[in-house]
Amino acid sequence: MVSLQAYQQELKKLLFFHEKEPTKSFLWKEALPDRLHVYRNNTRSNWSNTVDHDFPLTKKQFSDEEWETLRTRYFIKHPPQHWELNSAMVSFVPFLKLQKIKPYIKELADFEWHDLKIFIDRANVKKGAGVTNPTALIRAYQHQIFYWVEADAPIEKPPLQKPEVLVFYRDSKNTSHILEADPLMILLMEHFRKPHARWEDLEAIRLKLLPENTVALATVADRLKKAELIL
Amino acid sequence: MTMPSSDYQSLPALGAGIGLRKEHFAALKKTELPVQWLEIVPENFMNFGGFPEAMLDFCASRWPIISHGVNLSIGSLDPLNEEYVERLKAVLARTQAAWYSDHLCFTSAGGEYFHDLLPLPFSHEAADHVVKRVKQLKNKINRPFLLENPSYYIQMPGAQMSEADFFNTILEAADCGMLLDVNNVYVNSKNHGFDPKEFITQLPLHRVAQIHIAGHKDFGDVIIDTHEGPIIDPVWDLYRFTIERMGRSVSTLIEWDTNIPALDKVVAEALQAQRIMEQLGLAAPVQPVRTHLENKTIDALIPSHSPLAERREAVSV
Repeated sequence: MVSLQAYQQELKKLLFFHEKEPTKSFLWKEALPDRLHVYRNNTRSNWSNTVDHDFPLTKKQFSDEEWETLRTRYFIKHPPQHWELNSAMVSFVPFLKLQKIKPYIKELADFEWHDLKIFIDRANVKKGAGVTNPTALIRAYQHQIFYWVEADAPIEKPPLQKPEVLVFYRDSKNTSHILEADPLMILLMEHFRKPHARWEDLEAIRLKLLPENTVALATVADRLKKAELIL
Repeated sequence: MTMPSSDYQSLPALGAGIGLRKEHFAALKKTELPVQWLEIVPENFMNFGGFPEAMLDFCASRWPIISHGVNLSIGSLDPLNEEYVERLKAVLARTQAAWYSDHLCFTSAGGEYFHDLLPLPFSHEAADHVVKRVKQLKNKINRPFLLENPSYYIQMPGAQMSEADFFNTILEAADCGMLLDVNNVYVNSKNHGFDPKEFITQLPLHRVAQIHIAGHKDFGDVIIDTHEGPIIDPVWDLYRFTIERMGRSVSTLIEWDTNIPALDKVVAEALQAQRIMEQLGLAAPVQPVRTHLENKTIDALIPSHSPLAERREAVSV
């Protein structure tokens, strides 16, 4: 009699991706049942479709064959460890960072992941809270990813290699935004992430961190409030 | 709240409902169709804020919501995922679900997820394990819980009893309800060669609080429960047989997950189920739709548009 433990582990061995596909199992004396492919297909296509949906522009940078190889390698190393499919793909960007692929593709994947992350972020975006929008994320890239994405990331025209700092966030109407960030904007956002942060402390902080910056703080603050980056 | 077995029959009979799918979000915001109730896949909301959450709140304000999970993994030897259970509990509270369900299967092993419903062997060990887990779950979530009979494509080794006995054993010992998927019974009967009506008569019908019916795909050598295509006549016949046998109205859900048609087509199938219950003298006619929401509320639910908006539409639900 096969124990439940052995049975469940064996199915994992039979259905998950492997370097070498198992062709036999102690669960069946003869060959593997033909209908095992139903479970293999369901499991693998549910995972694969999620990566494809979460990283559509990254996928576009590869041929179908290259992408499938990359994806399979990923799932061999990182079988989903989360009950929610999108969240199970959290290790895809770190995995890509270790691969020999063009650096801007790694940044594109990071961009797509964070775009998704703010769209589904569970934080409550409430106007008038007096703090930085809790969904706001700052990402720095070495390439001009934002404009390239806006142009649908054409494979024949890679992004310029030029540093770019972006803010990803979602507003109170559930609309997602991605903006280019400047140092003063980042300073304000970081300041108002702290509980009980005060406007009157900002000038001194700016003098210390951005002594050259002379832009009127009130103007930037108004812009950020209007954009709901500061609530 | 521990429910004696007889009480599963007294859970509200909601009529015939439809699954909440992203393909219908826009239509649902303004529909006047007689949608009776909605079933959600809670995993599509448990981990998400923003637009999915706003859509859930909108639907919950308009229709009764029932939750039908896919990743509780009740049959897994992994410990119950505490984070999952807490999130599920929160969604059930948010939607005021009268009950919730998942499948009699396992979806994870060793902390890794198949994201598919894998059958358990019909063994005493598996039955005992599930009973223990359902009891644990009932201590954590204070709502009636139903287990669904899944479709399965392989006869799992190690069976010590029939599928019907497996269900009877578990549901009686764990004292939980049943979500009877009539389409799964049909699919299994074709794939494994048994009489679906005889199978249904062997089930603990007094514990059935909900029914699923759906389309499927026939690949010749195997029929797969894809939840696509219109419900075929033999499944309608089996549904009628089941309702007649039970002698009461049961909340019935039309499942679509592949090539999902327009809302009116899905609602039409729900109405067909409702008519069957009416013809058998077991259900009241469909109630008219609730009052319209103000346009203001609907506008606030327009999803975001960004360079990746199309991709986002594909995420979840």
